[in-house]
Amino acid sequence: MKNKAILTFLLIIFMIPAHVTFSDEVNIYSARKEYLIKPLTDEFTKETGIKVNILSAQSKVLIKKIIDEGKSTPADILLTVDAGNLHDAKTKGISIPIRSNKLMKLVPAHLRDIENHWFGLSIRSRVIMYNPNKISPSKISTYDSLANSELKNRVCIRSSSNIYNQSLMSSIIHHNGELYAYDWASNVVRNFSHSPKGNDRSQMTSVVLGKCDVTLANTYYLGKWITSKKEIEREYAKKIKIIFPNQNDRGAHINISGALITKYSKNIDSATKLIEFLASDRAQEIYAKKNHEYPIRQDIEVSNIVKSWGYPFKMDMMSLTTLGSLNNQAGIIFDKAGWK
Amino acid sequence: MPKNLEDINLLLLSLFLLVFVTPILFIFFNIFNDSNETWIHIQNYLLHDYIVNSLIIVVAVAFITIILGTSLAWIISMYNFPGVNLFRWLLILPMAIPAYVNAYIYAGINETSGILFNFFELYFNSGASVYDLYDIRNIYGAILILSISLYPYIYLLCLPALSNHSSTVFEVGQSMGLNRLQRLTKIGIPIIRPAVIAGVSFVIMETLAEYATVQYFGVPTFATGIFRAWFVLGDETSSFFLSSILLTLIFLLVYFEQLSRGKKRFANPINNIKPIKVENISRKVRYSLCAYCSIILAIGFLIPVLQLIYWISYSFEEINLIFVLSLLNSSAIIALISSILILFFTINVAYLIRSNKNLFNNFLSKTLSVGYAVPGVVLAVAVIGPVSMLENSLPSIFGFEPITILSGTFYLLIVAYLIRFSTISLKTLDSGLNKISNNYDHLASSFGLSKLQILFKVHLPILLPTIYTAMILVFVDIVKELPITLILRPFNFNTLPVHLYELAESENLSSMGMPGLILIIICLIPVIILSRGIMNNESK
Repeated sequence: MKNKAILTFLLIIFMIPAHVTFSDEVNIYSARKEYLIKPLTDEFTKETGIKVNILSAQSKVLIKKIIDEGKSTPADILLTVDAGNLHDAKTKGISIPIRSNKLMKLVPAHLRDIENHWFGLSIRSRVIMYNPNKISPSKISTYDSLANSELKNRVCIRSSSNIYNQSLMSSIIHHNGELYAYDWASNVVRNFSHSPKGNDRSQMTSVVLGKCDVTLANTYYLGKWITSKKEIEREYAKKIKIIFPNQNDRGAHINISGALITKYSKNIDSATKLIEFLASDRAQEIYAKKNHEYPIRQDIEVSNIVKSWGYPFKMDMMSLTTLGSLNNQAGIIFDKAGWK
Repeated sequence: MPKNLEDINLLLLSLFLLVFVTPILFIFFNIFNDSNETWIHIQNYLLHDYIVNSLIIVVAVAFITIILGTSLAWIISMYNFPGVNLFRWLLILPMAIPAYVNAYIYAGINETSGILFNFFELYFNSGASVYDLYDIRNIYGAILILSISLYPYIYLLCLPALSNHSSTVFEVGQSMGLNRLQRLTKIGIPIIRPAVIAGVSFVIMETLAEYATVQYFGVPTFATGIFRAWFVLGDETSSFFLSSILLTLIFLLVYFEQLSRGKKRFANPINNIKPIKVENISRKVRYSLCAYCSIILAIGFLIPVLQLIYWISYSFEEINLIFVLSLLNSSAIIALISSILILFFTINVAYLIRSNKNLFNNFLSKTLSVGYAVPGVVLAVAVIGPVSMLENSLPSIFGFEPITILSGTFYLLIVAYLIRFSTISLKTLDSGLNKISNNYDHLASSFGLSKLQILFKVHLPILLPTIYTAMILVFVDIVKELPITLILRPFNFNTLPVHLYELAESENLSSMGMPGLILIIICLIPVIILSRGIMNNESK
């Protein structure tokens, strides 16, 4: 009797499906958290009958996994944030050009790779946030103004190890050159009210609490405060204002979340379909609203909250491919300038 | 046992042993690889930090947990003060909160949704100054969190050691003219020393293995370094180098712990001697002892749970209970399958060791008992290593299309759990079997029962409570496991710890309430079982 039970148990164990790929399945390695993208992939499955499998982890981990797995990788799509990461994946040779007229139409040129290896699927903007009781917006209308000496001890920004800051630095290197970028960073460091600690939200809290007057943060963090269930966060959201910087010249710095198809994908057609779906009007609306991000096309509705900050605004149109390629230099300049 | 069945069993166990030692050996074989640029980079810029931080954390956590664990056990056993019987088991509760969960909670406590910040902001309008003063995301924070999560292991081991020796030894000491301090140093400390050594070596192992806490607080240690070398710097060799250094340290530790224990057996935790509290203390001291216990309990358990409830309280309608339950479900299924497998093998091994002491069995038991010492991150990379080597080389040798056979499957995850958590089951079963007198075996075999029959008819029924305990301990340890699951899990497979980790990564601490609380409730089960043992001990 007992032997039978054990035998049955062992049988069950060995019947747990090892990894089997069916032709109507798409496997995503995702650096976006599963609870953010699952609602969208569920929609896609409902519409097309194609099943979507998700494995989430940090971007670097997933890229390394795809390299290690080589030809046997189960991943069809890599979904990740920041052009730096997408560019990194492309230079490591794990992606292929995506052939899709639809995507060429749906995704604006500056939001995709020049060789069509990756396509942007949502936009986030890194903006200036400030305390309107402490400082006049006219004094801080550009990224450059954060380096002005009159802001001494009034600026707080998170650590330079953060990829959002690295990408912003890359854009400054691109527009103004390395020397200017170094001067800018050194002067901003001189203006710090305290040495960098905590995340974007911590800096925003510091602004509200009067520890500093100006910070840099991604817009969606303010969106999270405004819609928070916590009264104190909704209160704080009222005490902070947004400036889209450099509206009279290059525009506010933006970055993307995006997707690529892996070199050894066994399911390129369905993978392409999924990326096309994510770029479609309907998905764009959900995708952007869920996380208070911006859609890739300006004709798509944004949430009322996002609209209230001013939309559309002038975005920095520099090629995100260039942005990605300047990431290493950005790190070096931060280190030299003493930005921890 | 029928001869062929015995052979099959031996074959199975050999296979099991092979699965067990391959990853560990793989790591050590890799130290013969040539060092490369990445390793030189790590040596020049990072290794120093890994060594220094790991050492500081280990020494500090060991020191603090010894102070906390022994002092609490001492005052609980020796003095009468308000609530002492309640504190006796309440002080074990911090064990139920995994260190990384505490790390996330204590980081969140001073954010805009945190109870500390809100308390000062709403009642004293001084949130701003508290916000500035309190900063936990650093090495001191990591030390605090690990100490508060791990001290119960020392406390738990010291309690029976102190109770068992009852008051008589101290009375003898007193009659021989030793003062209070001398009674502590000459009698108390020698009595609890073996318990402290066992407890602290466990604490050190857990500390060296800790990944999520130090990673979240941004403190580079060996565990984060191994992860970083593999995934961020993209170099397995360096990762194996770091792993082998860490493993050597840990194995040395295990060796010294066993050496210091020698042939001494531990005091039996279930004991009938009721300690009599000898020391008379003033009212003031009584209340300060009570306050001391309350503070530790508050930091270790009450405040974290309060914060989770606070998070739940204002986001109640946002909680997707079905999603959280599905996480629980996947955690439970894999933990159940793994723990049944582990039980199957370890009962077998424990019984084999008991009935037949030979070289193979000895080696088997020694090997199984080091599994738990291998940190999760190390184990994960050690399991991927040989598997991906196999998967990459087999297709070219046999000329078939490359596919993933094992990586990204449940098998790999289960194998890793098997290696890490068999130790717990084996140790528990061992102590259970040791209590069954050999006379049972002799008597049963004189009735003509075979070994297999003795196992099923005699040992298993007596052992059943122990088996349940072992099963629960293993089950819960797997449910709260993070780094192995994070690295090895297959598609669409998320567990409660992985979800908490992702929430923390995406700066979304305030959504942690429900999943965090459910995880803690599950972890409370073995803690309550353990505490019942202690309560029984007290009431007898």
